[in-house]
Amino acid sequence: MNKTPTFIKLLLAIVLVLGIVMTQQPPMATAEIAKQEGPTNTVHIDVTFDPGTKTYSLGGFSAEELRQVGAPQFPDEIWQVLGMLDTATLKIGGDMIDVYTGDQQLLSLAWDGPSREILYSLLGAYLELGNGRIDTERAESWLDKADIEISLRESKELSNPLEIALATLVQVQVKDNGELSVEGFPTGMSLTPETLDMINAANVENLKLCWNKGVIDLQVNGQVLPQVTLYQGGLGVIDKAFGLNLGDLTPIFGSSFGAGLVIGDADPVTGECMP
Amino acid sequence: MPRFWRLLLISLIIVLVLYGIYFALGRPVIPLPTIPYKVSPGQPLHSIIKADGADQIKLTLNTNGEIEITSADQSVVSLDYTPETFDNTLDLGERLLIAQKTVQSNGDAPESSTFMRKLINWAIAYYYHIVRFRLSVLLTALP
Repeated sequence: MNKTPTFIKLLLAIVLVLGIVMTQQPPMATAEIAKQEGPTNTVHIDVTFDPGTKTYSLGGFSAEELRQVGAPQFPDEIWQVLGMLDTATLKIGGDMIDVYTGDQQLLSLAWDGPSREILYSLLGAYLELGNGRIDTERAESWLDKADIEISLRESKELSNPLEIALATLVQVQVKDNGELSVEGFPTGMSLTPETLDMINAANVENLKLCWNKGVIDLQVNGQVLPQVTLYQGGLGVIDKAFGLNLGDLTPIFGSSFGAGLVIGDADPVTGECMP
Repeated sequence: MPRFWRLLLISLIIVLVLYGIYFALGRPVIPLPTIPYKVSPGQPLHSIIKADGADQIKLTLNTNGEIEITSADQSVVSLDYTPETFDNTLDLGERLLIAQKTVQSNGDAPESSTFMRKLINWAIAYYYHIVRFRLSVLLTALP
């Protein structure tokens, strides 16, 4: 007779203890993403050139790799000019554009809001001749907080890997007829009617893709999909298996960028890719 | 108290105590034995497995939200999911599959099984939140 209440008391005690243990969830990682006050679109390109062999290396890609992907070969006039240079650097950061040759500053231009406005109106006037137009808002989203550095060096060495960290999404649009445009500029490429029909039937309106040094984040219609991580070393297996000849992917695996793809007249993809 | 109820109560308490210990330990992933699978020449996966030199690829599913493919101890690709992102993937996959069939059959849309979706989501959530396992399949290419 006394055993029944003991059991119930014991059960209640255990349930109570377990309940307390289970409600003590481990503290969630609530580290807030630090607000970026510096430039959000970083592009650092290193170019090495050898006037003797008339070859150049760009962003960590060798002359041979560049040739394979159809990079242009320069005429002799360009090589003559390059032969006179030792180093040259173009820097766009903050409110200034600076150009250096060697250690000497060659020129400095204002790159603040009003000066960019002048550039946009000049470009706009030029583009209107070809029925094009410049989207000032988009241009500002790219250039307002840009940190761009292009350096040219006379050297036989391989150039340093590309450093790309773009927070601004590249806006890609698929028009109703399947034509693809990037930032409003037609690419000349288009989706097949079958693919477009399937996308429309699946009601896919937009897509946001972020690449951050091998980590891929994807959202379709705002719905987050699982995060995929590609490993540079492991990709060698896929490269060999399918004979892709991917070459050295170090520059890509050191970069971060993203794209927002819109199908038809759907709303543009908003937000940024936070590296 | 009848014997049946006492046994039931004791069993329940044991289960609760064991799960309490498991929960207090941080719900660690319980590894299950690796399942070996031989891939014959001619099968689609054979060339991929052969490409790594070690002739082996391991597919690991951690039900706490990670799927990983490794080749000769080198990670090739991993996928991190939550029940929500898994559901989103199922949703997208289902829509694309239905869309493909609709386009191919000129407008006849096949129906999807809501019950099956709920069952899968429930299983994914259960093994994600409650009890976590590690399942591995070792794919070996036959010469």
